[in-house]
Amino acid sequence: MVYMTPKLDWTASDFINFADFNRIENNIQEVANYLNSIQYSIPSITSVISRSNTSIDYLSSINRIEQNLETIRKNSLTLVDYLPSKVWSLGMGFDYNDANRLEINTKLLYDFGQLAFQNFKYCGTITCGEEGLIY
Amino acid sequence: MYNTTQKFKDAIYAPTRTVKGRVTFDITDTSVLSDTVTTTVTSEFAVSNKSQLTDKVRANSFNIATLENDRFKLDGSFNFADDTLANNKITGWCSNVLCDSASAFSTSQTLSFVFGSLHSSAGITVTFDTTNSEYATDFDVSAFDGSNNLIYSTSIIGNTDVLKQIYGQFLNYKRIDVVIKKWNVPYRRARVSEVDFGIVKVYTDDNLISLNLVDETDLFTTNIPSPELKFTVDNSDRAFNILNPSGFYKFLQQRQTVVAELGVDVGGSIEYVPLGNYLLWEWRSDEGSLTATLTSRTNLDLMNSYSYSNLVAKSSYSLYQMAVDMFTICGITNYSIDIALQSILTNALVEQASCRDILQMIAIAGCANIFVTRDNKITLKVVPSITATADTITLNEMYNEAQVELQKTTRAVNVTYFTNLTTSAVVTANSSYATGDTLNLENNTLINNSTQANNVASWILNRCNYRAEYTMNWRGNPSHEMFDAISFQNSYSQDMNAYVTRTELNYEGYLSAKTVARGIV
Repeated sequence: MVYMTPKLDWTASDFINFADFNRIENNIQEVANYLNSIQYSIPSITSVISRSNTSIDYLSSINRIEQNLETIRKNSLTLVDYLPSKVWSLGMGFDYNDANRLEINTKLLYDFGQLAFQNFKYCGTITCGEEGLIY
Repeated sequence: MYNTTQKFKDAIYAPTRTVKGRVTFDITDTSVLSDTVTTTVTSEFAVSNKSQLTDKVRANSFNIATLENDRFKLDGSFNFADDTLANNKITGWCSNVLCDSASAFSTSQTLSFVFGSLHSSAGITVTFDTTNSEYATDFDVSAFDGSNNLIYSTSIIGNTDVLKQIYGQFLNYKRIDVVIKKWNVPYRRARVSEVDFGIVKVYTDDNLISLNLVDETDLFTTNIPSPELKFTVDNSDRAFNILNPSGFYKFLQQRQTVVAELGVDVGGSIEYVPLGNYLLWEWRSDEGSLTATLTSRTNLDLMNSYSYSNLVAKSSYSLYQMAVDMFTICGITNYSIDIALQSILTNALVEQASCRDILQMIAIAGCANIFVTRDNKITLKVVPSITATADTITLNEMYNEAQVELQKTTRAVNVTYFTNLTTSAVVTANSSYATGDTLNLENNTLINNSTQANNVASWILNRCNYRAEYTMNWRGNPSHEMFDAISFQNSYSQDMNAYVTRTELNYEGYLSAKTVARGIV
């Protein structure tokens, strides 16, 4: 799978469907994979991306998603706009703020990974002093 | 005080408010309720409990989120299910399969109920998904006799009701089948909260003329009044008239269930507060006015029907255990007993008396009060002195300033205790007043030693300090319960604190109330 374009503008009148949860979990897994590919050490996480409209997410599912993101954050960087995770219990209402938080946090970590990679400078990438005058 | 949201707390005292009343009346043959019923279903989802189809609860505890197309709305109303099914409490039944794009089930979902004996009723009521207002549009209801022969069947096409009454001659049936064929939304599971083997009528502003609740308690537990709910409904269709052969009158029975609620508009939706579960007691059609008035009371009244006596002294037996035993005898499961009563022992010697009277003796011996909470729980509570108040009633909420009446002072309290049914002694507790009444507690055989007798006497003297009886007519708040400590304004600077001891709620499209409270002078 590849990182998929997240939805960052959830509102109270929106419905979240199985494909949306699959995308959220896919993207979290992709961020973990990407950071590991650029030499971060993100512990293994468990992701579920096989939901259908007959599926159900339990408290253990949403807490696993929250913990997956926390695992990545703790083993990379806490970014300025990163929103705190939640521990879900019975009776807590899941709303558009939570959907936005999960998708925005994932995107922040993904963007951070991209920037981190772009800022790697290997020996020999930059040379100086071979042309013109040096004052 | 019944727990409500902040929105409710703001709306109930807003300068303008919209209050709604709702009464759910279950006209079911009470013999059905005591019969065993075996429920089978075509399929069942993981978060579903088919045994709750006949539990008389028509609303789920949580709005469980599932991933059917466009169901999980992000308005905060949905909850994730607990991994342990039982923790999700009331879920009702939910099919394992989804309907198709045309909302039809490829395999019809059948709910089958088999009884231990034959029953008859004026109809069947099916309550679908009340939480999300979803329902079956097309379904069949069939009745079978003791030999499984079809005796009655009807098909409902194009239903638009979440709570659907199916009227018909359901006579001497032993099995009822509800066959769901089509849902009102495509790609959905079928969901049913309750199937009632009778007619469940929900009265709202369209047909509820008035509702009156009298809820009372006694500071000294000298009596234990049962709350009484009286409601008047539109009877222009003459459904409650005795002579109407197609009416309900012949199906009315004492102890049929009445659930009353009062709610307030909290910004587009109504937040209801339960006024309790009541049992039908009396009914009459008001000839000439085209209305019918029904009176109902709580199961506290039921305790009058059961008697108890014990002539052999028990050892290591607490008032708490004795109260549990009284509730068990009466078949009452919804109760709350203060754990302070666990440490007060009694020899439990009582002559023949009703369970209600014995419960009163237990409460007095344990220095406790008895009342029924908004969620219908008979409660024995050792009520503490007022330290903090649960609510404040301002002058803005009152039609007139509260009237104050001072009760007489008490000089002394005499409490008789019994070492056995024929041997007794008296202890006396004196107050600081040189003059006043002397109160005598003479026949409570559950008080068995001087220490407990002194405790009871001191408790009664303490209660006597609450001499000021405040009576106020005001806008009302249905979330107030007995012995709530409330504060209310007066035209002087100091707010007064008092226990609520009586509430009358009157609803006739608007809510007004009369509250009586007792406080220390």
